[in-house]
Amino acid sequence: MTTRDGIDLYREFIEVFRREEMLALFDFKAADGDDGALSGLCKVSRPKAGKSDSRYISLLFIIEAPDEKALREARARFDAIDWELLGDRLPEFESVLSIPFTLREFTGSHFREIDIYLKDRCAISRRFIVDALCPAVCSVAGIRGGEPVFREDLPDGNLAEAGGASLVSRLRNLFKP
Amino acid sequence: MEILATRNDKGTIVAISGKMDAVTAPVYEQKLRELIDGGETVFVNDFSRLAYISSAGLRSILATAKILKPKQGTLMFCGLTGPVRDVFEISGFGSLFPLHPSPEAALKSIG
Repeated sequence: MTTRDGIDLYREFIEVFRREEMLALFDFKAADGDDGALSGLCKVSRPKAGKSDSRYISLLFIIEAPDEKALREARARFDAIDWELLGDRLPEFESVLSIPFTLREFTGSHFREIDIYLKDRCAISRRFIVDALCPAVCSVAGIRGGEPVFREDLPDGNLAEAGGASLVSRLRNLFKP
Repeated sequence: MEILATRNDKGTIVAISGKMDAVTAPVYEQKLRELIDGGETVFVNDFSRLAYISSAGLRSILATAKILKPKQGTLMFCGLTGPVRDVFEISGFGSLFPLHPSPEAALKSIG
């Protein structure tokens, strides 16, 4: 992307992702076992509160593409997916937008964003993601998805917990029978 | 890819250079697993000499973080630049893990 009128469009583009709230991540492989052509990680996110009036979920597929051949294969494979089929598998589905992109420098990955617009009545919960969204997406994309990992499944980054235990948990341990 | 782990009284600095992809990411994961099995729970990943990170590298970080969660461990990162920083930002990893400019700053944040 080019710089125009003093604005770095590339950085603006990257900035868009900061306005999303990451909900979960899951890894995936091609369902047919040909994982050399298709494997990677998928981020599930939604707009942060107040950042958008639209009700949608963003899926960012980060597809392993170590060279030009793999990049072409990943691109072709994702181009062939008919995301509109989500309408048959996800009652909350309203519409979809597929956005391919590459970063300015080589990263060994191909990126594909899928924005899934949902009906107003849809509650975006952990259960919805695990039981409805991921199975529907994997079915349409022809991939096998791993178990989604949610933010709360990971270390919280709270450095009060660093070093093995917080003061509270250490006190709790003192009073264990 | 090269990995150099340096123990400190506050945690372990893991300096990674080269590229972290489907070939090299399992080496990183194995190394961290060994350190965790040895009782380490606080890690500062120094990515200042990492050229790029692919989805496989991100998956290895995720797997390591999951192991650390029940141990109340911490996974921090520092020195992210260029494509590595961009990948962290768009993948959401930048909001999942503490990021610092240097290993010293990361260790200082522990207190």
